[in-house]
Amino acid sequence: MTGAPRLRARPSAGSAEAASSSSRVSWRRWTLRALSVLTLFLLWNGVSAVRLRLPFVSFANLPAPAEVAEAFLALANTGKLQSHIAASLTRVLAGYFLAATVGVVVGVLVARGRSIEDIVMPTLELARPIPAVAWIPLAILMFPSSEASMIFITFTGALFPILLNSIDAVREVDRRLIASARSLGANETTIIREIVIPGAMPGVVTGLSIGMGTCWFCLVTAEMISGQLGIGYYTWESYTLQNYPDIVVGMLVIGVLGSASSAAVRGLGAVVMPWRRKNS
Amino acid sequence: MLSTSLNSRPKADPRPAATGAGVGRVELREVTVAYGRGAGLTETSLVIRPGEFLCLLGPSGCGKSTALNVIGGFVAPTSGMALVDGERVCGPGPDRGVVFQHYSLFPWKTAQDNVAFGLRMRGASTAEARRLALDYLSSVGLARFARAYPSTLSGGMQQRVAIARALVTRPAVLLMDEPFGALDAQTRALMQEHLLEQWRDIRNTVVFVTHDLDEALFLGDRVVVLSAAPGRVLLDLRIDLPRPRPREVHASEAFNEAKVRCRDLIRCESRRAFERAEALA
Ligand SMILES: Nc1ncnc2c1ncn2[C@@H]1O[C@H](COP(=O)(O)OP(=O)(O)OP(=O)(O)O)[C@@H](O)[C@H]1O
Ligand SMILES: [Mg+2]
Repeated sequence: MTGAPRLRARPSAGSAEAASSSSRVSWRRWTLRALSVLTLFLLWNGVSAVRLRLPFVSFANLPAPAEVAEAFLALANTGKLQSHIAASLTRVLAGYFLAATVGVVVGVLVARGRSIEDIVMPTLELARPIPAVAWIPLAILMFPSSEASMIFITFTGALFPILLNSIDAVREVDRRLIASARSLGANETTIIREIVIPGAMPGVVTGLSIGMGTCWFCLVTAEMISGQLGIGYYTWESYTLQNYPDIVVGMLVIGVLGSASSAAVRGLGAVVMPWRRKNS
Repeated sequence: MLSTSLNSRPKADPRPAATGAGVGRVELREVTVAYGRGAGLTETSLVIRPGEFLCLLGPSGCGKSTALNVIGGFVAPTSGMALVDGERVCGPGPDRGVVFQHYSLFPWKTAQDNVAFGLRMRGASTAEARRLALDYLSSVGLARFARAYPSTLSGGMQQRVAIARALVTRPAVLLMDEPFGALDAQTRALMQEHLLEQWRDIRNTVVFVTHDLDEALFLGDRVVVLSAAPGRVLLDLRIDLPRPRPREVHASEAFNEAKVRCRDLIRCESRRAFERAEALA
């Protein structure tokens, strides 16, 4: 299989046979994934049913899946779930879009200019290890509305992964591609628009996807400030009220929303980067 | 402005570019490139005539890529200068097309848009550039792949598109750094013929770096062997084999004679370089 056959484009080699075998493979993989989640639920059900107590961990107070499902339905039936979710989504998306804008723009600037890097990076490196919880007091003091302080906290959560990934992505754009573009007569503006930006896109999208995750990660922290609404607030309140099934409902809702929105970001990435799609 | 005649007669562009009009004279004038303690090139001089196909050989690390990068304007010489048609090189420019060994195509552009890029940079509208690019791809037998992204093409195909991208604007000079180095022997042979076929129409100056002596002798009008650092010109050999050259030229007397001469020199030089490195270590 050397020589002439290699001159053929790969897509034309993708026959119906290959397609059906790849769909069989993906079917197998999906089954495996579903089984993994199912197993987790069965284990959870098992340990909470027997109230398993081990020397180092106890599942005695762990609510069973059925209790959690019941609590979930109760919450959904009152319509409260929807308003909690709406409140949280608004905060997360506001913080996220701010972080995405700031992170990508500053990231590109830092990667392209040394003095901008020297001005911006020391402060940011100092701020980076500070956990979201530690920002709560200052956020309350700094922002007149609690809504703004919650958005600020989700913003800090998303900013760093987006910023750092953007910086790396811009720096790692292949220099030979920039050299090629120059020798074809491209000026600096064209190089940024047609080479640097698309070249950095995969890394930026990775950062955006991680940032979406960390944004949800900070939600409970942010909504500790909230007075009444939000799925993180609901989780935290359930803990103080010792409504254990409700805690798990809150956790699972955050988990589902968080991974769904990260997947949405990756999906969007695939749309804007058609060249990275396999077998397109 | 671009001539639209590229569309109707892709093989006979009347623009004053490469074609025999005496442009594409390349000169290295006592070029030294210092990299920290080491040297890429030391006072190397070389004159390449317009329309000449020059192959650059030499032991690894002797400065072949450095020389190419100086001509391309990617590396500024520490002293001395490179000139193209009497003008000092001070940066990359569209008069000098380049083809690298790897990754030279823009992954986010289709083959057609890669080829159209240089035309657009020369002032063609996007629509016109894409049309001319498609015509060019068709004329070199790549029309089927116009809408493919580089990652879906084989290495040989990608390199064909890269050559099309560099040649569609008919630059006065074409610089190629081991362009077929990553390909298997059979694909490589096909690519050599493909390149010569295109060059026959343009007749621009080509500087072609390779490790492969057969390749150099098959392609070149002239073979220059650089010595191990300090990279001076060790051998400057005219290859007078008639063109178009059939594959069988490999078996000819003249070919073998040139080959033996070059090979002995390179072998001797590589050993010297190796021994010098050993002595330093
Ligand atoms: N960016 C760089 N920084 C430091 N030294 C370099 C750099 N590029 C090349 N060199 C050195 O300059 C010398 C010439 O390198 P060059 O790449 O031009 O050689 P070459 O003839 O192309 O070798 P090869 O056949 O292996 O590609 C080598 O000794 C190399 O180590
Ligand atoms: Mg090299």
